[in-house]
Amino acid sequence: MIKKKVTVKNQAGIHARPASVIVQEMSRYKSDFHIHMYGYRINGKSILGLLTLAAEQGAELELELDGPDEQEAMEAMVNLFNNGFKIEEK
Amino acid sequence: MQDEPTYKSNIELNGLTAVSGLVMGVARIYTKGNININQEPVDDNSIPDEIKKFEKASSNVRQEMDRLTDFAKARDDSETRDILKAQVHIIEDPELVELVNTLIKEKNQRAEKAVYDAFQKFIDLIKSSENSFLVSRLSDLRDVRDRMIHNIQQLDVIASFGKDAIMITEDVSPLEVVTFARSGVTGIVCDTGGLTSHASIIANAMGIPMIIDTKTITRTAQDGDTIILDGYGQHVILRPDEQTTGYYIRAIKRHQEEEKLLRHVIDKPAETRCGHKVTLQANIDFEEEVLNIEKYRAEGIGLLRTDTLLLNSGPITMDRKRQESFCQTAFSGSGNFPVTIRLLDVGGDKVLDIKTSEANPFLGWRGVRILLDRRELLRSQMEAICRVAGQYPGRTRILVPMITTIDEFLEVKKELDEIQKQLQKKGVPVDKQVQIGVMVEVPSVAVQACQFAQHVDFFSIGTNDLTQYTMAVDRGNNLISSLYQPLHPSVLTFIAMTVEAGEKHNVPVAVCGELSTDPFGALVLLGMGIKELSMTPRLIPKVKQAIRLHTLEEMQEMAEKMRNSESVEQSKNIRIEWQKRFKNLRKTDRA
Repeated sequence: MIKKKVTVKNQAGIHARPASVIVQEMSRYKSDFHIHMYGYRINGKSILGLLTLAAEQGAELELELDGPDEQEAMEAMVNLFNNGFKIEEK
Repeated sequence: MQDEPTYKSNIELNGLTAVSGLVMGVARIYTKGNININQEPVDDNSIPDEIKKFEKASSNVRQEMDRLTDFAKARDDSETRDILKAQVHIIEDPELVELVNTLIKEKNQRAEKAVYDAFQKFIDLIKSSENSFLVSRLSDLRDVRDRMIHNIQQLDVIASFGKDAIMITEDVSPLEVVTFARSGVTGIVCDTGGLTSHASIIANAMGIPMIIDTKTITRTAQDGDTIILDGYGQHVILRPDEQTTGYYIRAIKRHQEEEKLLRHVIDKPAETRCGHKVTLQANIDFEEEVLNIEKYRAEGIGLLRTDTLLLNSGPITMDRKRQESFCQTAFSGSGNFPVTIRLLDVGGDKVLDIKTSEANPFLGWRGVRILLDRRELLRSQMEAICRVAGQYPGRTRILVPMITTIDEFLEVKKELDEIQKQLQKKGVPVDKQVQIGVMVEVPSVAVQACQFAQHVDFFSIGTNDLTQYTMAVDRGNNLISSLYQPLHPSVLTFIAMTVEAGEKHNVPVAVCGELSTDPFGALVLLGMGIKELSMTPRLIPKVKQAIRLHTLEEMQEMAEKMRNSESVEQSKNIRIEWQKRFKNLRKTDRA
């Protein structure tokens, strides 16, 4: 199992579209994916779980990956967070 | 104590007849959107059924979403696509699925209640976050929830329709008409609706009497009421009293006898009283209808609408195998007669329930305009048609919809030649006689008919759209429906121009619009020199009866009068006068 802290960078936070991007990306990996935030732990492959975090810009999250491809998955996830989920915001 | 609701009998509500007919049945109120959850738990034995219902509804909604996603993709509408993708993720959300299953298994909840509660848990959590942006977007979540619940309930409703059900609904989508038809509904009554909307056309094709624009039926009728749908009188009667019921039982019987009489016409040749041969063909929307071709002795298919494939499968991606199978069915079900396949004619109101962002969809991206922008679609369709055509040589006619300019047609024709070449190279048998023609629905085609006639193999006049574009009247708009006059002299003039061009260049001209199904309209068209009419097969006997009772000269006279009519009033009188004559003709025919 590996863990890593990330910060939400995009302006609107984790709303439906970023959450959808996260789920889409993670569907490619076998590893279990959880996110910790302020004591909550949610399933990172659940779009509804992600939404209930209501993570705003600047929020700090801890990503937790566990499985055969945890390294690649972590790398991909950190990239997504750093790129603001590849979403152009209007 | 509350007041007793007023429960009057014999309430008459006027509307417009979208599909004629006379039926008596049980009113079934069909609601969408306003969700009413059944809270009653189920017993342990029913748990597997509820789980199955949830799974079936998930997969239905998922398919619906996929269809819309493909469509958004084709339109390069990335915003809609993203929203839909998020919604698909919601349907497949592992936490949600688990929670719903738990609620059903452990709390004996009904699928609809479990879905509602599961969603509510997440909605409450998001609300408690007080993240105003997320809270403002909760409607997306509710939308998915309601679709799921609606779907579950629909499964229930369909199972509980019972015999003689007449659906009472605010409005109806093409997809719902198909669902109703397949589950044996005998009539549809709506609050709103347009006479020539796609839903009406489909109801007509499926032979379900339908009255629209009653304004208040959903508020007046109660579930389980006896209801009479009188398409001839353009009204419905709720909770009829004894006298009314008696009257209608007799009337229904009379109509059944009338239908029996028409059945005698079926086997007689389609020709005028003076012996001029007329070709009556079938408009086919669904595979199920192909049986009607033989049943009503249609001489082939004058219009095979391929866009209805979208109702059942993903649009725009349009799986080639499915198209091939539809075409196969069409060819094998129509003897040795020709089959006219219209290329995809989506756009306007025909695009399922998707919101289009065009200000004027009917003047927008539809028919061949989409096909030329999305070549892969055009090519896939052409390939499917050509592959099947090769097995039925000499019978294929390809009809290109929504053509405005000759350039567009030549472009499509080029693609056809290219595909034929490619198939030949691959060793697939092709039919070099495949004909390709255009729909005459945009006035520019009628105006340039002589030029078009030098390139096309045939013309097919779509009177609905031709009327719409000639009169500049949105055919679905009730405010201006009186302007929708398919027999207006201006429309007839465009038809005449096309006929003339066709005669000059030896290019056949057919009519596949609704006008052909109106016996009066059909006679006028034949009087103008049209020799091929295509219509819903069910209506062929009625039109044939009219044709057989008139001479060509009489039809020419009618056409002449209509073309010279100077007012709506005058046109109406010509029709009334004919109706009287026709009634007598039928009487003597029967005797």
